[in-house]
Amino acid sequence: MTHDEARDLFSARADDALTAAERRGLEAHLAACAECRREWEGFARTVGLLRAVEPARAPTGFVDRTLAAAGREPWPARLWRRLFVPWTVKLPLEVAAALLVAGFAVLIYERSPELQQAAGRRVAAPPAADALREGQATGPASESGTRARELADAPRPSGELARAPRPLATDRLEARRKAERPLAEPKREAAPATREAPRRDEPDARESSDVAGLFRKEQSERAAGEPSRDQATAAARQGELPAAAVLRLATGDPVTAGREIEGLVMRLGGRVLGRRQTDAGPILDLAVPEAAWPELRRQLGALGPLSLEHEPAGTDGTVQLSLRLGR
Amino acid sequence: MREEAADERDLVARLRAGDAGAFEDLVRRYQHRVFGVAVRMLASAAEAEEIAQEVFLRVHRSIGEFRGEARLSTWLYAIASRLCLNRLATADRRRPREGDETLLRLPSGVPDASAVLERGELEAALHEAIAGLPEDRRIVVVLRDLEGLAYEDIAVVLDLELGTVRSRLHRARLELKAKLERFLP
Repeated sequence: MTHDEARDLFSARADDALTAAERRGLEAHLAACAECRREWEGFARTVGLLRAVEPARAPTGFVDRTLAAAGREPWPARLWRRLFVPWTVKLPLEVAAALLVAGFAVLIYERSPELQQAAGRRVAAPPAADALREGQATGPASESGTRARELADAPRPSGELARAPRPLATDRLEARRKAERPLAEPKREAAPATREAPRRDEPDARESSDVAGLFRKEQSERAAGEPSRDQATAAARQGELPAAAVLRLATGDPVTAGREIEGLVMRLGGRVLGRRQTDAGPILDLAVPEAAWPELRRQLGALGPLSLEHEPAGTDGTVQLSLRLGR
Repeated sequence: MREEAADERDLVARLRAGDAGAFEDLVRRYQHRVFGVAVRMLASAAEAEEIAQEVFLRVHRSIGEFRGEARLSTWLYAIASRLCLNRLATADRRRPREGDETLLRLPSGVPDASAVLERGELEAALHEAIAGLPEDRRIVVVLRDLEGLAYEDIAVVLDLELGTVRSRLHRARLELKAKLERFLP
């Protein structure tokens, strides 16, 4: 072993990191070489001095200052860290949670017909409110009309909240209509305003407290004030009154007569809009092409005593009618 | 050693869970070691504190990136070493700094620090000799002889081959021996 080779092993010897062979060779060289032995002693003392250095200590208050500095981290960085770090853990969890919540929402929505109906009516509600406003503008200034106008014109916040009162009223109407309807009814997309008209002459005015009830009440008051046909037609043209004819057919068997009438309407190219059950008997809401309206009247008259309570008005190629069947 | 490793794992788990007291525990437990590396490398207490603080803030921010393959202390040393070397590499830091000379003659930070070395010329010479080492050798000496890390840990901290660690350490010790020759009996 040369002097250089021996001195290259000094560091490993100081750290007790020599292999057995290196140790044997170095020990043999040091035993024979006084110069290298002296070099080793100096080297070992140097390492000893280094290791004897007292460990440095952080200055007093370092912990507090560091904690304060951590608290001064900009809020976007803190928010980001709290939300997403460690992102490998938090991000998948957050995505999973969001999907879970969305899934629950869809599930609840699908299993709640009320929610679906409410969502559908919210889309349809604004035109109804507009019709209300127009109706109040052209109608007599009755007390109920004023109340309806106040409801319609009341300052409302924007967005969903602004439409909130209207679906509530229509919800109650829909619920009552369902209760009155024992037969399965096909799904209807038509605006509710056009189907409310035949009910204005119903004796039961339970909904006078809601907007639609006020609307019907006002129509009843108009009817009591001998509304002319021209008024009805003009109003129907503006869209605030339904353009339906109202008929009453006296029959001993309303169920059988109803089936026959529905078949007749279908044969004439019309359709059944709905069936309602009232205390006074069933009511059929029908629509037929305008050209078939005289034939329908004729054939209805053949079924039994037929009285026309309201002529159709404002037709656009189709005549809508509400036919009450009774004894 | 095994108990310390278990404590480190527990601390890491608490940090990851956002335990409010975990960060304070981290700083209290490692403040002197991190500051020690910084002050030996930078020879400036003010800069050392700044760097040490940055080390802890980085750990605080990126604990989620700590994979746990190395020990927490090794990770802290790695961050501290990198920050110190980066600071030393800046053009501003390469200019002679006013006050560094005075600092080098200061003791290691506590009033009774010199149990083995008396305050005096030898201590000042030792610090000056360390500060005069090339940065890549100085960091190896600091980690091995002042902080007591194993060769393997130093290799991880500095991302070096084991042989490179050994050779740099040996050259650094020889250089120090030469500078301190007159103090050696």
